[in-house]
Amino acid sequence: VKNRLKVLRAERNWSQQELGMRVGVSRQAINAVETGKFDPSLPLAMKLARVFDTTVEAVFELEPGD
Amino acid sequence: MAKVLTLNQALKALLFMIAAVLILLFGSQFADQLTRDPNATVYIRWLGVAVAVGVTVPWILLIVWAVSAGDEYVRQVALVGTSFAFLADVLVHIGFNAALDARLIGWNTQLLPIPLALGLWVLGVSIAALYFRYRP
Repeated sequence: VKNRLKVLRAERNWSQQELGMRVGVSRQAINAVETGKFDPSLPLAMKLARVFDTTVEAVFELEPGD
Repeated sequence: MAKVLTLNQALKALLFMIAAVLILLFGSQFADQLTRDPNATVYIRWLGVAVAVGVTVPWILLIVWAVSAGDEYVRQVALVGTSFAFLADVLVHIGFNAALDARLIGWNTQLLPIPLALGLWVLGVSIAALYFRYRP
């Protein structure tokens, strides 16, 4: 699953720690999601979309192999 | 709020961990005394068995708390690490018993099951954490 977390985070000048605080997870979890090493649960994906004031589809995108 | 430990929680966990070590150490010795006493009744020996099992409970609670206090990423790492540790523990026991049967090690050699399990759990979770961090 591809994601635009890094871009969205940079647009708001948020650190991984700050984004983690906003959605209730650790910096390590945000880093793992951002680098594609961990696929978030649906509730976490929805929380991430909500803090960026957008939709889940605008943050996450299925890759051809998924 | 992010699921991170506050200093207060970390101190409580440290105190609980020290208590768990002491309970394990002295509780195991007490259980040995109860079960190995040649004059002990069946009830006393069963009490020894219960104490031997009971002294591990604080460690299990500590592990459960550590896993539940984390976020979903931490829980996934812990789950994979625990699965790895379980398999490693089974393999070590099979290998140990085979080595005993083959007389490669002394007949009176014993595995220390609790330190082994704890060590393998820490190793398993560490390997899982490294895997999730560095996998391509």
